[in-house]
Amino acid sequence: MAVQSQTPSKTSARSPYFYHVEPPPAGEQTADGRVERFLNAFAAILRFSNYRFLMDLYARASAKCGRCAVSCQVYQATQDPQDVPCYRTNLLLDVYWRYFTNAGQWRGRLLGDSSLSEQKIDEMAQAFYRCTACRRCTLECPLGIDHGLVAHLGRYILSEAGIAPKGLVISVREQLEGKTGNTSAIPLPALLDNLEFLQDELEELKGVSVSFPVDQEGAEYIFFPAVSDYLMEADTLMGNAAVLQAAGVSWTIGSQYFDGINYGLFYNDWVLERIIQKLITEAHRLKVQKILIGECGHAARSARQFVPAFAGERSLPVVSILELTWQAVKDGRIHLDPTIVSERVTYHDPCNIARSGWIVEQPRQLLRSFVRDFVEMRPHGRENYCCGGGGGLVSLDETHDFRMQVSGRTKAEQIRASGAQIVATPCANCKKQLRELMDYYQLPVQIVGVHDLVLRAIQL
Amino acid sequence: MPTWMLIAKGAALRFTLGICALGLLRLLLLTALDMFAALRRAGDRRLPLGQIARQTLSWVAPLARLHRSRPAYSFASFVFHLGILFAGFFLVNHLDILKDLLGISWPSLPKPALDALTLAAIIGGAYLLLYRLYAASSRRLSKLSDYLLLVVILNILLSGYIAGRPWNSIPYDSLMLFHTLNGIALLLVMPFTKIAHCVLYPLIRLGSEIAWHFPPRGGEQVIHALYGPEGRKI
Amino acid sequence: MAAQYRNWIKDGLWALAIAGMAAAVLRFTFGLGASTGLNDTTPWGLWIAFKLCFVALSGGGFTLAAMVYVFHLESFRPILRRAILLALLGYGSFIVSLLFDLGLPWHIYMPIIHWQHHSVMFEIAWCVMLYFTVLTLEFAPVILEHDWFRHPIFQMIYRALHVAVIPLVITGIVLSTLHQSSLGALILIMPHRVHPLWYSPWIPVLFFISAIAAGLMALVLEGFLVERWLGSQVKLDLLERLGKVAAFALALYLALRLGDLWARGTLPAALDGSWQSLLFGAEVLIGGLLPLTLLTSRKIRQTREGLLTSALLIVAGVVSQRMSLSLFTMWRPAPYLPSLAEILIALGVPAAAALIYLFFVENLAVLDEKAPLKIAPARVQLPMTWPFPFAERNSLNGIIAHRSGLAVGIIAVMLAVLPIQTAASGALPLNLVQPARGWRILWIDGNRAKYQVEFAHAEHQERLAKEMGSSEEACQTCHHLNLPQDEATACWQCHRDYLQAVNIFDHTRHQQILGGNAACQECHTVEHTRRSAAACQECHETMSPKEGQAAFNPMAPAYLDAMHGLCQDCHAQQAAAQNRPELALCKTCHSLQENPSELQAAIRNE
Repeated sequence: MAVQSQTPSKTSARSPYFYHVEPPPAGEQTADGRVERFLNAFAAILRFSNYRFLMDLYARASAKCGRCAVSCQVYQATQDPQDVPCYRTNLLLDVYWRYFTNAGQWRGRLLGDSSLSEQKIDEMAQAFYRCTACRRCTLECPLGIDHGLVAHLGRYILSEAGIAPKGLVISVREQLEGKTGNTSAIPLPALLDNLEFLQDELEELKGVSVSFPVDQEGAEYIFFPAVSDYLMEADTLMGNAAVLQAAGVSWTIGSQYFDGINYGLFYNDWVLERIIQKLITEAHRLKVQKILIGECGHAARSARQFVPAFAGERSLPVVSILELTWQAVKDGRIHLDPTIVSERVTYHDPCNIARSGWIVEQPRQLLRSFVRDFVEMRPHGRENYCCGGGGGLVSLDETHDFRMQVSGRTKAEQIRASGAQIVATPCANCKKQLRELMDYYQLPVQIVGVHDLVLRAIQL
Repeated sequence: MPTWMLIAKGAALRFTLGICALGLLRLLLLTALDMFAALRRAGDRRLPLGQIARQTLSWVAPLARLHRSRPAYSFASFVFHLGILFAGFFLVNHLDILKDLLGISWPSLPKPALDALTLAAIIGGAYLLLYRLYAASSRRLSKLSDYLLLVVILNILLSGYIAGRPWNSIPYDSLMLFHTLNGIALLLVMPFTKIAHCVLYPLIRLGSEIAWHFPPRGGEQVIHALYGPEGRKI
Repeated sequence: MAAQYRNWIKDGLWALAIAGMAAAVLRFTFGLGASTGLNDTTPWGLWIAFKLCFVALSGGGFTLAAMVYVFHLESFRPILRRAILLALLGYGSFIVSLLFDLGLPWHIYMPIIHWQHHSVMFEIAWCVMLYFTVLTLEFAPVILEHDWFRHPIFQMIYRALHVAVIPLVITGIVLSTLHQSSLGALILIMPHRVHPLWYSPWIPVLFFISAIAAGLMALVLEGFLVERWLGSQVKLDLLERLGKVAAFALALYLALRLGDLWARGTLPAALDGSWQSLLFGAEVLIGGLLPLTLLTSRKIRQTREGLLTSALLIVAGVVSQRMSLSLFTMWRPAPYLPSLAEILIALGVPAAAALIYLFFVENLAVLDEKAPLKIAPARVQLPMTWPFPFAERNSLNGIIAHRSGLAVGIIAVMLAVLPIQTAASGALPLNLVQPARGWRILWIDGNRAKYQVEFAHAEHQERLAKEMGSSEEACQTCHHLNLPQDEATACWQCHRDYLQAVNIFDHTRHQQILGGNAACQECHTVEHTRRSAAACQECHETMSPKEGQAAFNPMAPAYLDAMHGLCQDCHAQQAAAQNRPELALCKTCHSLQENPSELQAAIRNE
């Protein structure tokens, strides 16, 4: 895949950061200076969300031992003290302490130091996007401070203060306010064409007619893959459809809304909630019982975690396709031919579904059931390393250099050390990042989805 | 009575212990109250309590983890905490003072064992201090207070340890005065500094989890607050 | 008033209330003797004085109720609820303060069961109990009007109270008439303690009439304060008419008081120039005649300043009368100095009452029968501007955070300043002996009453020297034991406490002699504590008890015991032997010529 790589000098000409900033629509700024806008946004978010007590708790308890440094792949690559997760967290905690606690306000009045400045905002804008939000450091923090959550909050405040990555904002704008209503701007007719094409392809490949049902009211599952899969991951989708058909599951794709991607998880709670609401609305329109998320880490996590949070009474259970497939294999509803995949395969855990321990064992057991040569990377599972493109970075092409040289370096070494020929990973973002990494480091490794392999082995 | 004993049995220590104990209790209660309030606002109130409790407990005695990353640092930190806790709470002299003050007491541990622990804590603490001073990542993270607190704790451990040694040539009473003053300073600042983690620790992981439980319509209210009732485009 | 000033004032009230509570813990845990300056000869202190004032300033409750319900002066109805609330809190404060003053506070219910018809206290107890109940019932409708009490049961109670209001009011008037005056009757049973300028056989009536004046003017004062607090407009015409009624009561009170003094011929004492006479003059002139003059002028009465000034003066005048009577000029056998705990409790109770008052006024329809006059909480402005108000002060958690921080600070200070350590460790407070100044006669304050007894040191010395033939040995008769080779150790160096035995082991000295830190092992072989240290006899072999001798005891007896022990035994023996009983009497040694006072007179009479 051709990757559009930009030189750092060109990047810095357009934005002071290593990503492009999409300024908010003109005429909506509530305050003049960035400092005021930042503090206003911070104040509003503290007032109307659940972050306040967390800031209090972290500001009081953070011991700043620096132990998290060793767990962060960004820090491992740069050895720059500014990339220590705790340092990043304390950037925001300092602002909180200075402006939103009594002690800080008094100290500010008396000594007048450590106030927020343009430089500090720049530092935060840089720091919170140099974090891939993989939350690996959370496991290593003896106190249990969630640096990923603080980075999330930092990005949220920055976005309300007018600093958000252009790539994410434009996709979300199309998804929530555009004509097509999805991040990849696929019009509905194009989707239907695509489904027809996939159906033909699958018939050609497996000799069986597998349907892609659209708008079937009353189905058990409504299926939301990362919408980009329709364009770029035909094999994954065919694998999904083949499994669902073979396992005898009634499922449907919604014609009004068919995108699982939720970039709100990366930078803005307001966006996050609106996208979840679209998901819910479509599920209820089709009167389904459950929501099925395709091979996509952040889509699975955001739906799993925030459908119950935002939908209230209208909440539906959220299931990952990996759980469903493994259950079908266990139940003997589908059969996978163990002779077909003979290459050495390893599995990369997408942080969003593995860090909480939700989906760690299911895909492994699934792969082990039909892959002859399965190896593990070290470490893996809950303590895996991020691909380097987490937190939405992979959607920002201008961060290519950072993702290759810094955030993805550890992963590339891990893959090289594993000696695998195929890396299977159930995440659209991870796949894109890993492919770019393999190109960059010139490793002869094929990056596929888990269901790509399932598709090869499944017996229909 | 020597000056240090006057302090240790006097109004200053009562005030200090009042600030320390009640202040820490207050922090604990306020945090718990805030967490309840946050959970009440949240749309989804289910919590993986078992998992959180297991993780929290596993870090109380992180023996299995010490060697995994930064073994020297982790071990130093572990013995540092261990020494402070045991010497602080189980030294017979401390318990005597507490008994005088409040009339409560519990069994003490034998002195030689505590001496060994204290010595280990001193070495561990010194390592932590040197690490903070000389490791670039830690130095960048540290502020003056991070160094000062460590120095005060080391002062307490060192003066307490040396005072009981026969080879020590510094007058006992002067050392104990130094020990007492440093101790009082430490107790006094405990609720206001990062040492508050000694009581907040059990709540941090739970708090991190609760904070992920966003309240419904929170984002929308933020937008209305910032941009008025029309809100903004994306 | 700006929200932040209101918060500061509330913080101040909370601070006083919390400090009072801390002192209350001390009072109830360790008792009156350990926490107050009161004793058997001085039972009336600060708390009683405050209590008399609470009741006097609550006089507006029954007066207003009588004016509205009995005399049908309906125009006063808008301030009736405030008057009842003020009386309710005044009597509440009285009852709470009483709990502190009672030696056995858990016996407070006793007057209900055991009737002691001859006691003025019995009458007061019943009246206060009943009147407080009446006030509660009178005020209950205001609480029941709140949204929380929509339930039909509450509504039924509400209607029932509405029907019962007239009987309640009449009961209330009768009861408060009774006990306002019976509080004065307390004075009648101890005329010898009261200063002549404040004593009067008419004092029950004076108490009752002055309570009307003070209670009404307290309402006026409260009106102005609430106006500042809530920013509501005060009803000046109503307050002006209250002033008029109060003026009549005040005139009657002054006439009766001064007339009685004149009739009994005590009035000239007001001109004798003593500080009591000056206080009396100020009380009558500035706190009585001056506001009376102001109030008689309709023009002055109708101005805010005039009304406010006269209200302040009258309240101050009546408070001064109660305080002078019970605190300043009351005769006491020994000077009385209220302890810190007493002062904190005395201030804490009204501070807590004020907080309750503010809570009711801000949340219930106290000021206006229609709706509660709520302060609009300082809500977050939209769009939000920075600096952001900390911790959302108006949210419950924010308030808890703020006040609990205040509480921690105050309680810590209380732990430091209140004398808890002695009682907590189960020991008596130390009464350190003062080194004697001079040698011919030593002054020894033996019973903590600020009275010293004389000890004729030189006389004893000479006598003993004569008896023993050597002054050296004479000294050692008393100055003995502790410091080797030191024959003139003063008593106080070992007998350090008047009333308790004290351990005289000198650790520092032993340490120095044995060689500093290196020598710890000499005595502390196991661990460095007193418990496990070597016994004295292990080194000081001479200390080993010889036959028939008790083992050396490092506890020096109390000073009082030691000093008395020097003489008393022999005196008692000789008194019997010589048949001279006066030898065994205290007065024989505790000579009275230098210190003639009533207490010693009492001793002499025994």
